[in-house]
Amino acid sequence: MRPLSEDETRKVFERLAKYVGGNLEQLVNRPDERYCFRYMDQRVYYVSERMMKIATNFGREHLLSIGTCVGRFTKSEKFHIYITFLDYLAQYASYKVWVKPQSEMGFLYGNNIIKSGLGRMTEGIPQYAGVVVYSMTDIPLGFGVAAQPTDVCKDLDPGANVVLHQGDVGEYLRVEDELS
Amino acid sequence: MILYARFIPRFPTPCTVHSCTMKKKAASRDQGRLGRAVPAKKSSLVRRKGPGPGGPGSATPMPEQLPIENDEDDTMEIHEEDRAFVEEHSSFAASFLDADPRSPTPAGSAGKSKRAHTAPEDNNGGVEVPIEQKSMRRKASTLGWNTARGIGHRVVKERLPTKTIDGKLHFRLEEVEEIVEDTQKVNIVVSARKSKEKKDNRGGEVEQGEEKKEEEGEEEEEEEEEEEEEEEEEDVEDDMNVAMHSETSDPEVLGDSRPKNGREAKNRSGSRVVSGQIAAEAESLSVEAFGGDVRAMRRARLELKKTEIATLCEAILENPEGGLLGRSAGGGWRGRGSRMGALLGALEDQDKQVQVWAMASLVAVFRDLAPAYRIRLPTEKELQVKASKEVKRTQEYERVLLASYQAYLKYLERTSHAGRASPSGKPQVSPAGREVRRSVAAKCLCELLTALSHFNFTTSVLTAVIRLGMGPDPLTRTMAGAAVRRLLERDQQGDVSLSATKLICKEMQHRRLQAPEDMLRALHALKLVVKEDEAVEVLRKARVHATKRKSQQLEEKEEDGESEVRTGLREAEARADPELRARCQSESLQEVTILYFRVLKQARKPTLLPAALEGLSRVAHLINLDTVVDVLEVLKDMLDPTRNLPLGASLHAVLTALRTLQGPGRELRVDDKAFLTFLYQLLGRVGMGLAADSHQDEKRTDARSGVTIFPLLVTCLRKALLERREFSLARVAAFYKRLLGLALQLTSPQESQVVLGIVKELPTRYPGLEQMLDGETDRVAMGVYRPDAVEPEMSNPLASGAWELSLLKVHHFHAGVRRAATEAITAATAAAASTQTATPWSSSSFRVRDYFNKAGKGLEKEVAMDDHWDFLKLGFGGMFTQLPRLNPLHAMIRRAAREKRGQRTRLYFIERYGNVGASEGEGRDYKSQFWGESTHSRQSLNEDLKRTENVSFQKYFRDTRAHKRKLSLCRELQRSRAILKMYASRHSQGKQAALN
Repeated sequence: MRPLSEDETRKVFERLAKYVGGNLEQLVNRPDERYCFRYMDQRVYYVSERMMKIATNFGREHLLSIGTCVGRFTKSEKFHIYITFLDYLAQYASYKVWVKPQSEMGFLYGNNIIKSGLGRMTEGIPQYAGVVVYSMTDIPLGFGVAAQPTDVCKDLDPGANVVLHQGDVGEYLRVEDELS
Repeated sequence: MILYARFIPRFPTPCTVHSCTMKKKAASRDQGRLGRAVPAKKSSLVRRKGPGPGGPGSATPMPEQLPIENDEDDTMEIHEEDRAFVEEHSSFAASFLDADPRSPTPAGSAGKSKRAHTAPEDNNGGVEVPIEQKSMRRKASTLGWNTARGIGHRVVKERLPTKTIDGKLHFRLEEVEEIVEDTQKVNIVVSARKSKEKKDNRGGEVEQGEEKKEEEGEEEEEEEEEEEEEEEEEDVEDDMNVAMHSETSDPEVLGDSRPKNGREAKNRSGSRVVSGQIAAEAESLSVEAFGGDVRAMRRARLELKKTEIATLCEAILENPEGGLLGRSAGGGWRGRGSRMGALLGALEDQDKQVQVWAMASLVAVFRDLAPAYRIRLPTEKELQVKASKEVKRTQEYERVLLASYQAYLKYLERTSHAGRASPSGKPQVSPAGREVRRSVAAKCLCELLTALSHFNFTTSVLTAVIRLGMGPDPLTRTMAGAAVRRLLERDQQGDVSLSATKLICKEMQHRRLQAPEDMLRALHALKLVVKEDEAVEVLRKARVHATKRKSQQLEEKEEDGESEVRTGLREAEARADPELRARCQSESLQEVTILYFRVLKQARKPTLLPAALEGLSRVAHLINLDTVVDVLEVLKDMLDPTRNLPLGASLHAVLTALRTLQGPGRELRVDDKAFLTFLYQLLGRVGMGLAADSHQDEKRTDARSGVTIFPLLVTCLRKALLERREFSLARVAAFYKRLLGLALQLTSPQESQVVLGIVKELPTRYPGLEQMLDGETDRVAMGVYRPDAVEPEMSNPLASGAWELSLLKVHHFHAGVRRAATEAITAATAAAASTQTATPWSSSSFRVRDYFNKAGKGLEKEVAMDDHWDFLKLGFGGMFTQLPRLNPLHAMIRRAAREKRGQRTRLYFIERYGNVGASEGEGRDYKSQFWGESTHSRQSLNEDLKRTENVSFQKYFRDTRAHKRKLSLCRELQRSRAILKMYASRHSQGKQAALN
């Protein structure tokens, strides 16, 4: 377990900023407690400082996970966000998309969201911006990338992709092994 | 013997044009008849015998022309009497004969030469040429004339009483003004005195009326109408000014000063004589007769003039055709033919006061004379067709009516703009008098706009009024705004609205949106109900229908008459044609939206912004999807915090956005986050604004628009949170928290109650909010609440509780607020209960439980007293009118108690989560915690309760309590009243003692 290097921090923050935008600052400077990012075994964790200090008591081989897993660095040094971080993403998301109940399952099985399944979306989403996907009852389901800007969405045909899938809560079941 | 007189204006340039055209026309018509005189400095009256074939009464090929409009009328007849009269008073006549007979003011005379050009097009089938076009031309000519002529001359001509004096007396400008004002003051006094006498005279009038009845029944009715008119105007114009006050004094009353026999001799032919007599008398007044007292002379003259105007109006209304066509007995102001001519002549009287009276009277006259349809003048062809005498006479009447109306409108238009038209170099002559005249003219125009919107020249009147509405004078602006608003409100078909809208938009654009906002606000009255998409649909259908019909017609040409019948039927239907209405409305909507857009985008003048936003919010639900995108774009610009929009305008912007998104923009499926965030911030601003003095007036009302902020805010909140479904619970919770904060902050308990009303409704719509009522320990939440967050989602509201509610419930000074807070808590918990357990009784039973949940026993009494304390009247409200009836359950219990004598009655009521609590007696000893859950176990269910739906325990307890409380209050109040009385009597006794 170690703090992120400068390069890693930049990569992580850039990736997170795609989803939470300016709210990233609130993620780091929390009013209740100090939180930090820690690197461990190619994974990045978001931990409160107190927990991080406690965790130092464990050896590397004994420590599996602390706090919340943000994502992992791939072999090619790219950073991928994991679905485990969805709670924070949902809290601070700047662009949101709501999915109609009938196409919820489709998304949870890892498919993209098409126009007909779109319930509502935040205004002014640019193309390829990171969006957080909610059900119509405002439960976060996952995240992805906007295939089209909001303005274009209204003219799309019902079958066109609106949000490209990146992560969904179905992964907890489907790729359980990878997540841990 | 009949004489012809011809007056030639003295002004060289326009005169030559004028007389040339005259000559040609005259020559072509009747060569031997017309005489022409070379104007001399003084008396230029040249008389000739009239050798014409039939005299003036003979049928001339051209119909008789209008006083102002036509030039042929220059030749006029002068009766023998008048000639004698003129000769007798030659000293006076000399001064007035050398003037141009039509226009005492040079502007008028210059304008006259123009009229020679415009006359033909005016008569051209009633084509409505906007007045201002002509007035522009007139202005130009006026300018030219002014440079040519000296100012002094003009001044002399405009002076009122000094004119008759033969050149020795010269009043200076200031002195003259003084006199004008003084005499006006005198006028008020006079009219005030007269109006007192008026009441006394009423009796006499009735007698006179009866006499008349024998002669002619209708006359009296007409007269009464006229009187009513005058009185109506009094109502309308009481805010106007001095001049209007004296105008409204009743002509009958003023009859004192004129010869009595004139009144008695009045009948159809007599009135003509009377008016002539009065006019002559008025002109004959000379200063010498009043011993050099100019004021007294003016006063006397005014009295006479007033009477004359009244007589003329009466006569015209008695017999409109005669009044417009017939020639009066050569009297009148300028002896210009008909009575209407005489009345129009009064508009250009030397005395401004008389002008004002004439203006106001003419409104009433035209309002009565104008038919309910638009007059279409016959074309050349139609004139050639032979028609019966009656038809011809009607045609003639309509033409003259139209022409006089036009002349009058032109005068009004000119007068209402008079002040500004004058070049700056000119000395302002009698600004007060001019101001009066101008405002009266404006008022008349506004009056005509609403009264005669169905008649000809509506566009011209509308244009004039709209100009006034954008002018510099605030009083006139509000007047014009009100008139336009009334017009728009009354319009059913939508065509008048459309033209008004178009004109306003054009005028705004013409002024590059640099106009005051009155007209923009007037546009809010536009009745738009047809949606843009619907309108398109209707129009499309109409088009299809039309093409179909056309093809049908091609097939069966013989059915040509049918379409005529159809159009005739449609006209006769007398209801708004939906097609036309849709078309008009959609066009108006388009115009208005474009105008608002322009204002919002350019917005050089930020004062226009609130008005435009308000207007946009009114039409937001009608626009179509294409426009929605643009609207949202523009509105987003508005939200920029650096713009620092006033609170009212900001709220309107939010309201507009919400209406658009919920109406036509629903298809966009866009989350209205930006606007909700803005509203969230505004809420904070409202709360803060209360503390800061700088926002004091901003808070209550938006000063200019007069919109009260608070209702607007409530509308916005309802629209944002209650009327639409908000998906994000965090967002709703943030609003919930902020509203609670607002309820704490607001200084007015009434406003707090309203806010709490929304707070109460929120949990029923969003049951998730109930968790905010849970204790700190029960909640699972991350982080802390951040009240300072910009966005509602970021504030993490669910980490906090609704502690404000309990604070309000227990500690607020106002009972109403305490009650509202209690209700809000109840509603929240009830909503939660209804979602958690689906038992039919749970929610109502829950209220039963909460009923006992008072914050403290000691508080109870205080609450009761406060309940009836009226903060506005500072006293106990009307609570003792009747005591509440006892609940039927009460009787049931009593009966049960009686039947089971000696046994204790047992009452059950249902607890939250389906628990049934029981207690002895009337459930007095029941204890419950509000926040927590009840620990009572389920025992049994009262079967009675299940059966009787409308008799609930809750109501029973409430009623019984209220009953008891009121009874005790009554007693208490009676006691305190007795005490007060006692004190009062002691006090007075003490006073008495002190005095003694």
